[in-house]
Amino acid sequence: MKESKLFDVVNVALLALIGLATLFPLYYVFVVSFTDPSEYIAKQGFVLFPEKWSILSYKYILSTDSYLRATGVSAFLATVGTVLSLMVTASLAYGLSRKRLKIRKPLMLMVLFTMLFSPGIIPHYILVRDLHLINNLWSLILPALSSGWYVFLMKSFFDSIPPALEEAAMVDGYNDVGIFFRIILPLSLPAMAAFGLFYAVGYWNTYFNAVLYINDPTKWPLQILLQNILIESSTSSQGSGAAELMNERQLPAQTLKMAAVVVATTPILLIYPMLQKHFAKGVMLGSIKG
Amino acid sequence: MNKRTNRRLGTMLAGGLALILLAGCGSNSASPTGSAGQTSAGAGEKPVEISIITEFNTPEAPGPDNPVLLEFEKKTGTKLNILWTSPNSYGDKINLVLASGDMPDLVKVLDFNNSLMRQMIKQGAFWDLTPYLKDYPHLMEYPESTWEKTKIDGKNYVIPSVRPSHGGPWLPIVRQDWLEKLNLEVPRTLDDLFEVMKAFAEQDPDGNGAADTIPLLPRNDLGWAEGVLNHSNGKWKEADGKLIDTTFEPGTREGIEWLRKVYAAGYMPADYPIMKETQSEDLAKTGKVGIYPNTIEAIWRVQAELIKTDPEANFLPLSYLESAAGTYAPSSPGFSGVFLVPKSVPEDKLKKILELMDYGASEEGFALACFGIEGVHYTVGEDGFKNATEQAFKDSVSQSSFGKIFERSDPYLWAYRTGMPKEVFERNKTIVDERTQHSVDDPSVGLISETWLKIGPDYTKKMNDLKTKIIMGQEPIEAWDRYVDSLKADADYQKVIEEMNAAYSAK
Amino acid sequence: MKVVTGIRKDLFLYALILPGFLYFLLFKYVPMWGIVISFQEYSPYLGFWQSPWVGFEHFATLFNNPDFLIIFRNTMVISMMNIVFYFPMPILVALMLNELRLKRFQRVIQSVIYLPHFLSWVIISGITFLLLSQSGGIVNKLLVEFGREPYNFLTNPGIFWQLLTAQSIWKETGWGTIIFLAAMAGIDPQLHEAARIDGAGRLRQIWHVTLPGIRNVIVTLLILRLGSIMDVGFEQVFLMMNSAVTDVADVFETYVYRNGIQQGQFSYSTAVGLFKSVIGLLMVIGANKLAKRYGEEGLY
Repeated sequence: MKESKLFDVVNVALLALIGLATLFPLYYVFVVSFTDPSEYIAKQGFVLFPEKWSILSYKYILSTDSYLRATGVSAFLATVGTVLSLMVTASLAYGLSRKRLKIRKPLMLMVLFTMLFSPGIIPHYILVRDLHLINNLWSLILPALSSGWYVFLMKSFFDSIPPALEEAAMVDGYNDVGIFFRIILPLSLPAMAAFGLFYAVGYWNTYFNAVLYINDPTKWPLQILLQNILIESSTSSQGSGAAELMNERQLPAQTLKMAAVVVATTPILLIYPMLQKHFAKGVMLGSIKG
Repeated sequence: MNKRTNRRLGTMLAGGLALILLAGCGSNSASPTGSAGQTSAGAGEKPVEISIITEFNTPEAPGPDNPVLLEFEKKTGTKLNILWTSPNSYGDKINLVLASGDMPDLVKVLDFNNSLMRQMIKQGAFWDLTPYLKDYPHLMEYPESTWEKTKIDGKNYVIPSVRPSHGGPWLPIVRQDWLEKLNLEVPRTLDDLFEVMKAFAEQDPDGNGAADTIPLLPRNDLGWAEGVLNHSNGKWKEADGKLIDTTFEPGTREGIEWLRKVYAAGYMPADYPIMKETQSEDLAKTGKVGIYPNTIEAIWRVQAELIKTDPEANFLPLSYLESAAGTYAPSSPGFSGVFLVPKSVPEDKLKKILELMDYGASEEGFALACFGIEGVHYTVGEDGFKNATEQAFKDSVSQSSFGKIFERSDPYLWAYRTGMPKEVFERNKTIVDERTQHSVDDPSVGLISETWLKIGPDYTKKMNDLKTKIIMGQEPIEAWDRYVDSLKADADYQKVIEEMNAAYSAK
Repeated sequence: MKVVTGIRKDLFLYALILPGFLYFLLFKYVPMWGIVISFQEYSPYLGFWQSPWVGFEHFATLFNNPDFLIIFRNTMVISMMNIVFYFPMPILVALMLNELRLKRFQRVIQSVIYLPHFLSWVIISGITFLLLSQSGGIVNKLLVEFGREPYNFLTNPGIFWQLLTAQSIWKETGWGTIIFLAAMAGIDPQLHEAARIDGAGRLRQIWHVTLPGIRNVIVTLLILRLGSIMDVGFEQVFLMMNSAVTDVADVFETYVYRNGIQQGQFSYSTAVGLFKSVIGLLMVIGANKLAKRYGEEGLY
């Protein structure tokens, strides 16, 4: 009993520390985004609590017409994309987890291979173009529906579902599709929640594919809009014009960049708390007995 | 709030036509607007559809019903489909565009040395513009040297996105108020600079009682130290009709040693190699920096911020540096990006495109591109400078949007920034003029060595890294000597020198 | 009866996997032809069929590059350090979170630790700079306060790898816990009950119940991670790289970026990618064999 208490205390203390360590930089980003730019400059970035609050940076971002539109695009991708991705990935992963699938081994190797070997931007672009998906929002969903990583990870979740369940259902006359939808999926809610979150974040953060495939600014997802503000990107081009380019660029205030970060991530951050309850212990396992 | 937005918006519209404004408020010059080929405007012909790809730097991209865009279409009889592309990934996008063959009618490539573009030019993928250009007077107003420098194999395949040759960030800028306070002369040689830095460090020029001054704040390139000693601009130098690699020059070694001395004395920030541009600029804005290389107009950004708290603050861009080798004011290539037209575009459309670009190069066209429509997007102030309105911000009218396509040659482009008082602008113009007199050009602009394209980046990186390490004291100067010796024995590297020389003589 | 139901069973199973199968076929395999250009001197204008073949020339160029070993070493070290030091962290923290009794506290902590994942590397390197810069960083300011010399955290090649790993740990641990928490949610609580009744303390329970319960997820993840051992996060390295630490910082991604991508040298960059993929494949095969020897499921 003593060991249990000590364990709890140490546990809580450590986690609190970790919580603080991860919270501080976010606090910083949040605080800076509300700081008046000249104060930020004067303090050279060491702002712990702004003296001059200002929502200037937010006004700048949110006042653009395209902000709402871009958010809508990203939201569309995040919802539709996630649902489709989950369906495609989970069904494949479940199939692979059933040992009786004849083509199991070759199929797994096939998926594995795609994870390791990738041909680069050009062939993908040509495919998207030949499918007439250029400038179409589906070009941001269909090519990204699934990935070997998620297939294998999901499979390992399905592997741990006891076969007794399946057998019982078969006896009851269910076929694989029925089993999958009525039994496996409800049982796998924690996994679905986790992967759903991963996919949603991935779709929400769509940037590079949009640059390549979407030419129409009205169809740009949020990240592109924000990247245009965060002009000092990490991979700006080099070349004989670089110096001139750098001169001409507006170097936006750090406060603006922070505001852009807050704007970009807040919506997706709100999803996690909603999914948290699915990570509760042993919620579903009771149904086995039933 | 409004003023700030206005100013920020204003800073996006670096006035390229300040000269004209001072002369007389946007009135057209005597020559007819739009000039040659302007037959189709309003003649009842169907507007020619032209697609263009370019980068942009405004928060939003202009939409298809943008008033400035519509005005351009009206004036030139075109229907423009502009693919505005995020500058952060422009390189990748352009390579994709080139590689996939899905090219718009007018393609802007930012890197003139882009090997894919070069390959494709050689393979005949783009129009040779040379025979057509003479019909377009405004384009011909671009400096002769710029047209020369952008020739490939002796022909003009590209329209340069023209920029001034002087006013760029390649010379130091000094706090003049501090010089005056400490009774120092404007530094001319590296030794002068060192003395000035010493004074800044020791004599507390900002008067706050703390020795916290940063005498020299480098900004991504310290090449001027070598340049002034070598009397060269960049890696290549012309001597006796040949190209010499300045890596082997004694001036380079001296330059490294001088910088090492500066670093050891503590006159530069200890971790200058990792400072990013925004960090440098923010640091400069705190008023602690004595010498800071930057563009003449960009330093105004810093100064404008500084004079809020320190009205005396005044940054003086140096007109030139001097050494035993002569006076030195490095020039810029004269362009930033190039435009090409794919061969798949039919000839009459090609002419229409040139007409469009020609209009953009005229006073009227350029003013429209950068400032928009008078009364709607800007008003003219009493000092003759244009003042932008809210609407300009909403419509993304800026040199950073339309001004990325339509260019007009203006040698003082980098001398002016909105909000800059007239005296400062006049002073800047004089500095630009002085620099032009001491100009040192880079003879290698536009020259390509195939081998260098393949192996160059690694060598450049090694050289820069080694220089930095020596400057920071992590390696001795002898390491440079050893490296230089190894280059002399390196067959690939020597091949590059040969190829560059071949290209140079071929010009 | 068994035969008939056997076929029926499989039919629906095949129906299930069909969408995924089609996806991989269309969007992953159809573009695969692009890998072949690593054996060509590919010119998009000439196209695939007309571009000249150069065999293994690009690989020769890669291996003959005097820095190849350095780049390889850096890539391997950074990846291995990530696997050794970062990989266990989310597991540990997930275990700790799982053991919390106070649900509300658990929710709060869970919602906080995954936040750094959303910050881009640009921001994180900016913050790192703010903290550790030699001329003005907070840590160094404190050091000076206590009478010490400022330390060159960011330009010291000796701690570069550690710095990168620390950044990764900070950024990704929280996010990494999610998958393990999901796995732990699927453990039968009766197993815990049984262990408790048998007198097992908290730590024992973790060792004998929780960990085995998520073992297959851990193994799968580990093997997958090893497969991508040659992939070091480009942005992170690129941002933290500077002239002083270049010898320990240069990795394949930065090398390719410097030498190929921007210049349109598609063949070369594809060749380097192919090399990395082969190494990854070898790692996966090896790791999978090892896992099976220890009685694990393995990846395939």
